[in-house]
Amino acid sequence: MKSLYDFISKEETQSSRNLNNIINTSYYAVIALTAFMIIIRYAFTFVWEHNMSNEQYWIEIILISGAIMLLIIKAVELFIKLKRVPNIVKETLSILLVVILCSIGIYVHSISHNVLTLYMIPVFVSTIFAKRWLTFTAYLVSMIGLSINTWFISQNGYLLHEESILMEATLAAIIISLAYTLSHVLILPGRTNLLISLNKESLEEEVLLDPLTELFNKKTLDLYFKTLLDTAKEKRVDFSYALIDFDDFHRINEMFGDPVGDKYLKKAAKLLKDLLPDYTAAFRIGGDEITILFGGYNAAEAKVILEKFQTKLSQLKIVGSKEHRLTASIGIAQIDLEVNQRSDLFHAANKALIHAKRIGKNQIITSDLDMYEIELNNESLNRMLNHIPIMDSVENINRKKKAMTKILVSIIHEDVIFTQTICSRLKSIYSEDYDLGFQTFPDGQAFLESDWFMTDYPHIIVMEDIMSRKTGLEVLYQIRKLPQNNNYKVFMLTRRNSVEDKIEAYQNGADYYLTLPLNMQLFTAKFKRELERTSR
Amino acid sequence: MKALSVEFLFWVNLVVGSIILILTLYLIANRLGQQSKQKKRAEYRSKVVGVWYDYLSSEKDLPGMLIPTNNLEKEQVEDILLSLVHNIESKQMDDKIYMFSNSFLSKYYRKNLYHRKWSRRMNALSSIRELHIVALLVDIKKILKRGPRSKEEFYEILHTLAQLEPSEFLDIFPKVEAEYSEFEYKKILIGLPPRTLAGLIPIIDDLPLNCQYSFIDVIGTMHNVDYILFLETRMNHHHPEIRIRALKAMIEIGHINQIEPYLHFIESENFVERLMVVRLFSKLPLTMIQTYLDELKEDESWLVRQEVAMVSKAEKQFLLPERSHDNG
Repeated sequence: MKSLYDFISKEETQSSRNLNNIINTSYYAVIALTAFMIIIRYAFTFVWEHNMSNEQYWIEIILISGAIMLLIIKAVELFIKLKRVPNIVKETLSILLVVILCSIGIYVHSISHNVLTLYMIPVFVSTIFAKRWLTFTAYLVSMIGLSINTWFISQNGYLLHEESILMEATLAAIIISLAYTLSHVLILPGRTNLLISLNKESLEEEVLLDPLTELFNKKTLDLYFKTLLDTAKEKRVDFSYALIDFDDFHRINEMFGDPVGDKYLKKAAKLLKDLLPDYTAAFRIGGDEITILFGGYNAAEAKVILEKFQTKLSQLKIVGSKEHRLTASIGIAQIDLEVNQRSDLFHAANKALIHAKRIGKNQIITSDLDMYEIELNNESLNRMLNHIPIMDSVENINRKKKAMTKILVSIIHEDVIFTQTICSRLKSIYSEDYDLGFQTFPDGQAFLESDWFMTDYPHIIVMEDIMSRKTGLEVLYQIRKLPQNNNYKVFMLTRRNSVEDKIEAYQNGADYYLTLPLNMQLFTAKFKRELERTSR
Repeated sequence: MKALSVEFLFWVNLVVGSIILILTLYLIANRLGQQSKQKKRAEYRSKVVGVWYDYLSSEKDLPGMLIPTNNLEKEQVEDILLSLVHNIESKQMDDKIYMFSNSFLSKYYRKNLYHRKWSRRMNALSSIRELHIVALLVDIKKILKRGPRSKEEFYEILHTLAQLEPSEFLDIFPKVEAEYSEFEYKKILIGLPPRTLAGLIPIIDDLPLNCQYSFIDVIGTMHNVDYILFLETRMNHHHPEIRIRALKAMIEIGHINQIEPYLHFIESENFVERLMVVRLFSKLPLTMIQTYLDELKEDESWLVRQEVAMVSKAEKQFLLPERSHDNG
């Protein structure tokens, strides 16, 4: 199965993906260190006229330090596989260990030049954890180690070239600082590799998995959710979020005991894992609560997949009870223009889940369409029970239908107070009758750079003609070049009132041309007229 | 490189490093402070902006939360009120804003009027004018009496008086020694009530030339026939620019009582005057101006000849002449 994170790399070529998987971070570090050493070697030869022979340098510095580095990395890799030790302890201890090893090496080898630079090894080693703070800690600890070692060597007179100890230390400090800068570059591919390997068996065995269900745990969800969501938004692919809650699961625990409950939870998780397609991942976030991230799937597609899961789950028999069947209620939400944060997705899915529970459990509800239908059905039912005339209900349904047509409203004006005023005014007047999505922008450039306007929704734009970055006419010109430009209705606000200006604006595609200061009543009347036209 | 001593390198590194560190820390602290202030401003603004509009556009009583309690809130209220005055047209809203500003912001602006920083004083004057804080006129007059500290402040005071106390403005304006640009004079004159503007006519010759030009231009944009008599008196002015501006203003107004005051322009040595008079005559029936057009048909300037041809053609086709006013 492809990992969830792979869906982000859909556009990359197969070969580049393979290469990414093959090259491990530790090899990156070794390659970087060797390259770095060679550069330093030549720098010393040409700038500082160093008198160390090539052979001596290759053997003592490059080969030995490369071998030490490789050994250390392998040791650290083994060390971090230790179970029952918290990650932070493993990481910090690894770095400390490397620093101590380097200190001993330098102390023993203190007759040679430049050996103080070995303190860059901890910095490079720390990159395999792909954490910036850890690399910074390694850098700090190395610098402290360097200072102590320099002091110790100079005090005891072990160094042959005693007079140049400060020079050596200063150069070593500069080189370690450069190594620290370079290590930041190394962290980037390191981080990607770590994410790509979300599904790798080696990591599944470690901290990422919930031990009972073998689904990912909540910590993993917290770690990667934002990155996955941001990438989905950036790549403009669908992204859905499902919440699964097993119905009356506590009863199974009460009747048959926790071990039986756990057993069925494990079975259900296995069913789910078998059903989930590529680019999806399931996370156990609570007792009997499971979250699924669908990368590249919209809510309707996710619903089809989860319906299969419900069918399979209903076939799962509970030994010892003919009445009881394991069922699950599911709420699904997908990202769109308004629901695009983790909290939004969670709230939308949770709301859908609560609805699913309310209307009889063992249901799948998606946050958008299904919720609307349920609302409408409930309302019709209530009306029938309360003998409310049917005409009223039809009107109401029409109103709701009108509300189904989502209309985007963009207000582009440099005066943030004015945009907020217009926005709050329009919201308060029309939000009940129409499904409006508002967004404000400080100038035309910000608007054109946003994803907001690249949709098929009807879109009303209220903008000033003169702005510092991209004028209203420039924005208008860009919009009218779009294939679906009829979706856009433009209110141009201006302080210029000449006939020529008006003609120019209308010729470029403005639908309304209003002068500032704006007469709010006139504006809202025109806006309402446009809303009515658009929602038809 | 070997000649450099280790100690020297070490101390240079230490000093440069320390300076960079201190500067970085200072910048970071400053930036954090600014960001926190900006965040507070944005939070306050988004909290009250809707409430402000509701209050100003309805008959509701003033909600207590709108009264600013500290300088940060006062700055935001100032921004909100100025934005509403600039961008939304409503007499009721403007009146309420002026009333609020007089009651709750006058103390704040009084303090700023006497502030040691020039920018604060200038901003205060500009806001007092735009928010019509008449309660501070006494202080403004006091500053005027004492003598403003800069030419710009003096201009702002004039502008404010022109808006808020025109009678005082008429007393002071002819005595002003400082000269400003045409644009600055226009800014003052364009907002003047008609009666105050008319009050400047008797003293127009005492005003600086830039001001006279602006005054005639402003009259032109008003399209008011009451000023035709005054403009006709400018036709014989010794300064050619005044005569040309007056002709332009007449073209803007588009109405001529009598043709005689303009006839001498046909013989003018300045081609712009001849051009303007042709444009002005285009407002009259062809029968009245045919003789003069014939005379100007052979004019030495091609612009004048072109204008005459256009006027004759348009009149013959019974079409209103339409041309931009700046193509000559």
